Amino acid sequence: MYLSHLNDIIKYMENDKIILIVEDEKSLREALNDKLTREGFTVFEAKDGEEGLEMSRKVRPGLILLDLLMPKMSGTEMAKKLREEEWGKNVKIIILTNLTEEEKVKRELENSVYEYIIKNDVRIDQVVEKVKRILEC
Amino acid sequence: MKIQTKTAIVFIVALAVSIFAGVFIYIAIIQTKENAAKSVIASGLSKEIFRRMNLLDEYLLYRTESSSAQWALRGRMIDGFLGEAEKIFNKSDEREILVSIEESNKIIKQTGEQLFANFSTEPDTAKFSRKVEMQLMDQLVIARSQMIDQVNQLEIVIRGKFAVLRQKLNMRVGMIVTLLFFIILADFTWIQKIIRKLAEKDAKEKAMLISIGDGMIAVDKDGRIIAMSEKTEKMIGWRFDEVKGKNLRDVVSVIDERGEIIAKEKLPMYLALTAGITTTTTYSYVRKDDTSFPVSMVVTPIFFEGKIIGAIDNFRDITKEKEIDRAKTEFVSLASHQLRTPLTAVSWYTEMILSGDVGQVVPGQKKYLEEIYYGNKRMIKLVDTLLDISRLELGTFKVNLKPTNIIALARYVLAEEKPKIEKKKLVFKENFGSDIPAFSTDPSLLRMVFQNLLDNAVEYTPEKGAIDLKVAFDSAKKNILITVSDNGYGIPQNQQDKIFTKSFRADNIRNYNTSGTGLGLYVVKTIIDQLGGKIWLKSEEGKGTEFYVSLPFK
Repeated sequence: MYLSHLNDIIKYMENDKIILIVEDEKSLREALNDKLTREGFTVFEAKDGEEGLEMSRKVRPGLILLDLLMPKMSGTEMAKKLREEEWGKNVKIIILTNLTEEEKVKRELENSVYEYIIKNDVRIDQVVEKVKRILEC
Repeated sequence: MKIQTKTAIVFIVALAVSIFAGVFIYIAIIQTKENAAKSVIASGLSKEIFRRMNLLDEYLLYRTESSSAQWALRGRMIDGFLGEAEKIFNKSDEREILVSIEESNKIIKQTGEQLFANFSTEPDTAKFSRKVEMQLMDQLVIARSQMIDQVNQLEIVIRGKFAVLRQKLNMRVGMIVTLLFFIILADFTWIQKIIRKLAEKDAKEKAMLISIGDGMIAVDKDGRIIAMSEKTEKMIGWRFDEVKGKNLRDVVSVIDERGEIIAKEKLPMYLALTAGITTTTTYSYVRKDDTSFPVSMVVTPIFFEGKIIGAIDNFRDITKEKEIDRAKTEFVSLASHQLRTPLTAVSWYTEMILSGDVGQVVPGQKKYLEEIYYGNKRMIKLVDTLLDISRLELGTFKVNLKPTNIIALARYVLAEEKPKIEKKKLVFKENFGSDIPAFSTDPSLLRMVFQNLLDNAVEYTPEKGAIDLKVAFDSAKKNILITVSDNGYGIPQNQQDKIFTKSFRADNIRNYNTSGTGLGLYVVKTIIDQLGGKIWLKSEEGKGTEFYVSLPFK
């Protein structure tokens, strides 16, 4: 009901203004949502990979902020699945992660284009900057 | 009492008794000899006197010619005996008796001569009357019995003395034998006691060594096994009788954490035996079945009168400790990981409030919020370091070698440090070799080395100080040398050997910076060990510090 209603709205929106945040940690998810909304983006949230995949099919975001360690479906798995779909091949992805997983991600997503943000290394306005830069090009 | 003193006493007593016995026997022999001679002469004398007197009777009966000649012969014999006696009895008590015997003999001689000279064999042709003859005979008989009595007396006196002497001798011999018996008995019991004590001591020492609850291997000066505790047998899988006398090196191989065998010259046992060095360290020992176990060991040389006569290796199986240590590290790793998300949340929300996203922030609030923000930043940094350490210790930080441009890496870190350098108005100089080719190393680990060393240099150098970073390539030695130097607070001489230990902070810098963790150089050292490099330093308190890192060029 909620999703079908959304579809109508999204149809008329430029999708490079739509951002999907896939992050299991509520506080981080909401911080990003608030910040990006204030910056004028339309933001959607998903709390795990499964929901993220489903949501991205519906809302077709211009960019996905993707956490890695999540229940049900991990970020890497979701990214892989996304890249298999016709629509998902070229969607822009920023991986949100901790330093520890850097190597692992590189190995698992070697044929995929993505950007990389180490969460506790950056300020939130740096995330916004990066989002803007990526969406512009 | 010391054993040496005891044995000396035993020896001296035995020696004294032997000398005493020797002297006694010598005196006894001399005395016996003298008395025997006396007694021979006395009995010889008495026999001859009897024989001579028999001649007189013979003469009176048969009046033969030969009687006169025989009388003279006997007389000479008696004179001979008396001459001998004169020599022997010279100074003794029997002298008096001898003088009276000699006088009697003189009378007999004179009377006899008169008798035989003046009386013919034929009584009728005698120059003297029968009466005179009878008178002379009477004189002779009296003198004879007198002389016999005297000789008998002499014999009795000598025999008596001899008997007394023998009695004395017997007593003394008895005494000496008894004394010797007791001395020998005492010595014997004493020696027995000493032997027993030594045996007990030996057994005690052996029992102590064998029953030690830890691993213990003792070797002689050539490194051959001479003793080991029973626990050792269980630990290394070899029985003592299988390895006794064998070189320890051939029996138990020593390996490091990476499983590489330690070179002979670096073995603690080698250092103990050749240089007398005591080593406390951890390695792994290879068992008989080729499995290995980690040990914490202390190898100590044994000195005797200034010379190294062997060494003792005391070791303990630290498998359990290692497991516990690993569990702790895993816990730290997990906890740090869990801390990251809330720390990020605090950081982001504070940042959003500070930038006025949710309304105007008044100056007082701003100041406090900034405190929260920077406190949180510090916590993030600490958690990152803890994570790095736990990953280094757990080995999950696999060394990922790839061709690396070390100058680019150094410049990258420098760019990060630049704001801090500028803030403290430090004079920074770089000196990068122009000919450094890319080499195989782990860039992310090496980045941490640069970060920590530069962070420290910046942190512990006062404002307007100087910092140098040098990177050089030694193509002959095939290594890369990194030098980070400053003219800051320095590290006290007596703490320089502890500077790479976990959580250690030098005394002098605690005042300048209270937020240091004592983990940075530990991280650096661990990384450099993993990269197969070396790190060392030169530092003087108040003058500055130079850290040197050499990395293998591969």
